[in-house]
Amino acid sequence: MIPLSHYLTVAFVLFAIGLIGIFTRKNAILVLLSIELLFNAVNLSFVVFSQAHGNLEGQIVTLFSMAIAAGEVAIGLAICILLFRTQKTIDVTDFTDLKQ
Amino acid sequence: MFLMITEIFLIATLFIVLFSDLLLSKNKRSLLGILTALGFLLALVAQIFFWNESGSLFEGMYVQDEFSKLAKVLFLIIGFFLSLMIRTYATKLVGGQGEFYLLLIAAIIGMSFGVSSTNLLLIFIGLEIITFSSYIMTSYLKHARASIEAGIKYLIFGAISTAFGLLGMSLIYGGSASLDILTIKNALLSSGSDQTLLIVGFLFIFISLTFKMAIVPFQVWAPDVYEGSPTPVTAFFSIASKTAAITIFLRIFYEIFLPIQNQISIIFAVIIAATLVYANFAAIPQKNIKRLFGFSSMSHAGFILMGFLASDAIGVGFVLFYLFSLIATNLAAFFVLSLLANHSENDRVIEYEGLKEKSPMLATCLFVSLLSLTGIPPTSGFVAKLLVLYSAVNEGFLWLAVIGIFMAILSAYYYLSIVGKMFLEKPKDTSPINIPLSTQISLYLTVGFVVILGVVPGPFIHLCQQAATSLF
Repeated sequence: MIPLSHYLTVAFVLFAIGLIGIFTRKNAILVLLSIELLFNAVNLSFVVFSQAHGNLEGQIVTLFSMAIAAGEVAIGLAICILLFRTQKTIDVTDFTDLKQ
Repeated sequence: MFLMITEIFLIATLFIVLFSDLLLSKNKRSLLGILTALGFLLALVAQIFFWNESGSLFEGMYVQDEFSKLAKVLFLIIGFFLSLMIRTYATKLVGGQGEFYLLLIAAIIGMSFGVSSTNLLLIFIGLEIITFSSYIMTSYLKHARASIEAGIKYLIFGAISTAFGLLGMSLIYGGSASLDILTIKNALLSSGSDQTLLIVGFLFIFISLTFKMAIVPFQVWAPDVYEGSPTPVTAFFSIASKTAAITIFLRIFYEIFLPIQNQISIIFAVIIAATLVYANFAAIPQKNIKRLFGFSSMSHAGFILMGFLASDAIGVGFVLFYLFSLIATNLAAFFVLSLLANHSENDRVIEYEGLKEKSPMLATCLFVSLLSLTGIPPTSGFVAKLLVLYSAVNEGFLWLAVIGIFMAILSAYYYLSIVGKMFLEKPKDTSPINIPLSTQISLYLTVGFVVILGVVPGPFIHLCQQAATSLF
């Protein structure tokens, strides 16, 4: 039997990797991928807690959060397409119009 | 059935607007704005008519109490005025205006659900409906580089905020084995459960909501997004999403985490002080009026959060009163801003020079609302600021109140310099500005409300405090 803390450690490491990815990646698509990673880390921790408590609420949240993550990325990709049309690049460090 | 009256009316409006957008010919699309506003107005009337209906639905996951009813009234008022504001801005919306109204209605539905739910999952879904609509609204001007750039920036920060909120929820679920607010509260009070998990989870949810309110240190997105969005969307951020985040946070904080308030109020105080100082100093050199309002709305979020230091219904009533005042004031200001945005390209503060000669009415309305934002007596902003400062002093945070007062004085500099430009300078071109009838009426209503709230605040404070008692 693997203890609870091992699963949670994996979840938190995943979350941290996702956060680091968001702030270091330059390509907008890869930033969206890192965002997916954040959501998956949280889903993992929900499932783990759900298993530990022996009720299903956590797993239900996971279903909802997968749908929401998908919606988030769908909008994100649409914005990426618009970005490429208007600026001919999706490198997030190039977006400096709004700065003083 | 009558408990969900607001949501039912709004969903009906959503479908009516959706189908009329398909059926109406292109030159009659301006009717959609009227239709949306009418839908909000009907929902508002129905909500007030069925004011006495209270209770809970869906096994207690959805609750209609005094607090959620008052919050819904606020949301509906915001929705009504914003749809009128979008209507005057519609010529700039190249992607078609029908969808824009749909997104606004959807966002308001999300707010109504969110503030009524007593289950963290439902609250989360309500918040997500709001954010999804605002992602799309932000990047709605699909040929404008600024709008798209604001869209991707808001999307990335919004997604991080959502992930933090979910992480907090999962920790709270881990600590209490439930997502129901009452069960979580019992777990927090009982000694057997894991309190650390609950408190850390709460802090993550707090982080997630401070993203939405644009509080330091999670404010980086705000100025850029406020500047790049279409003007009615800037209004939506500074009024609607702020009100939603604060009312939802009020429910989470006072219904669950009131017992640990003493341990975390010092964190609140430090964050508030940082927000006030940062926002007010950063606002001074701003040249773009929307960016300026971004910092201004940040500073007001700081003042509102001051009310969270109080631990009784009176203090919560002050927070709600501040929201009332902020909504009326910002609506008045943004009606002027979005009307002027039709005539200009880049929303520079310089373009407000000599506004008095172009249109005395717009200048006067903006003047009153800037007075209220600064917090100068006969307006509502003064009473609201006074009440939250009183809250802070009452809870022993005198130093915070002193910082608040100094920052309010500092804010007079950048607000009143706009007033100076409007009234003292000569305009470059003196062509008078045509004000549509709907904007005139809205300006009279909102500015009148700002002054009424400032002169006779008593009944409104009483109303807010009564609504607040249902949280305890």
